[in-house]
Amino acid sequence: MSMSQEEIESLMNGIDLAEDEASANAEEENNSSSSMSENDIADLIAQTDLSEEKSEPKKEPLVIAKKEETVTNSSVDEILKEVDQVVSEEVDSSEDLDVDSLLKELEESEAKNENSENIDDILASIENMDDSEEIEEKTDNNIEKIVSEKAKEKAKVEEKKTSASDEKTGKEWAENKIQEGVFPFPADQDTKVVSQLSEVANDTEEKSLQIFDVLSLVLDNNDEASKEIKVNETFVKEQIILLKKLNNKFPNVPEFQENLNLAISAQESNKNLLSIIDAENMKIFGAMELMQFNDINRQKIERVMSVIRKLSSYLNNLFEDERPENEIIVAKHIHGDNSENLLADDDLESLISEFGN
Amino acid sequence: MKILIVDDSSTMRRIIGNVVTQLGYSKEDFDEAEDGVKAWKLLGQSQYDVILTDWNMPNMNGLDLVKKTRAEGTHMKTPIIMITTEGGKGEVITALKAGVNNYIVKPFNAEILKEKLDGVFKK
Repeated sequence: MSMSQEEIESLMNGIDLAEDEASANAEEENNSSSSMSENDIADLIAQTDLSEEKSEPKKEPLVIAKKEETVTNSSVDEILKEVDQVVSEEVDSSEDLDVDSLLKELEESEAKNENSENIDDILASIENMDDSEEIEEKTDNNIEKIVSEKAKEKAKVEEKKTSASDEKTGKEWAENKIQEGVFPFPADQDTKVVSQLSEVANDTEEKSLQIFDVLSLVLDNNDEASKEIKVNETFVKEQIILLKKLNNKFPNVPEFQENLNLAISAQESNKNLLSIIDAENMKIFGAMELMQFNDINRQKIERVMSVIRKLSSYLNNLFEDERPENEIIVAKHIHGDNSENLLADDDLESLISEFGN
Repeated sequence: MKILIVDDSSTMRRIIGNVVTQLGYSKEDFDEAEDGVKAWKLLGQSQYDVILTDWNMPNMNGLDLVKKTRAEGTHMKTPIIMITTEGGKGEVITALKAGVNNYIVKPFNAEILKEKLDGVFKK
């Protein structure tokens, strides 16, 4: 059956309206955004057409068109609304994105600006430092030299201090060992055998001479005393002779007898004094004779010194090496020593591994 | 009486001098020398009646002095008494063969020296 003109016109109006509305919506969509694609809209429209055809086959197109028109129109409106919403959201999001990017760009630009400003300052400062820089470099070099020299001097002083302190501790340790009797006295002028023996011999002879001088002085004084006593003795002798004559001539005068007795006693005391002095002299001579042992002992010491000298020369010849003397470096710690510094194999390996060479 | 005392020990020279004074001699009666060289020099300068010498001395020992005195100079017959610590028989024989008149072993006293001197002068 053929469609009436009215039916055709209504049908056409329905399609036109849908088309117009769709195109308007599309334009709006295009103007706003392109998120909702035309294909999607077309699909939605197509879905509305199919739904009208299924309800009425003939009329259904019209009805369907109408319905479709009515359905499509409302759905399209709804769709359009939805699309608008979506587009607006997308625009917002896009705008946010743009803002973020813009902000980032701004920040970057600001940083660049700051860097540029710092660089400019530096460049300006560098430009200003054209003349003074050279002077400052020179002073810096001098300062560095002075500092390095002072550091070297300090290092030397510290080395000297440490070496001096080491020597001190070493000397103290050695002295303690000597006092304990573990070490002998060091071989210096006071402990060398021949030197000490010679010193003993010379010193004893010197002191013997001094003693001899004292004894000689005593002998001389005794001689002087003896001389004086002898002078008195002659006087007393003459007095005795005189008093005897007077006593004989004047026996009644007791004074003559008394003085004669005194004179005789004085004469006896003089004799006693002389004998005492002689006895002392003999003792002194005996002491002087005993000092011969100084000479005897000196010769004994010289005999020992001679043996020591010969022994020393013999040993020197025995141990002498005719080759030029070069100090041989010897090991301090050898396998078998009782030293605590000897490393065991395990300790050696661990030490090597610690260094990690 | 002029006496020459030869000994390298000053103490020994003093002792011998004291012994000599004990025997009645004065200090001006004797001279001292510390070795054979100086003794030979003094022997060339003065005349001595007796020489009292040690054996072991530096420069020239007593034995060499005795040999030289007996070989030459003005004291070839002067009595020589050796006063020394060497007490071995061999040394005494050696000294007697060299020409000493008597031999004294240290230590000694004044009586021994007097006895030796008397024996030498008697001869």
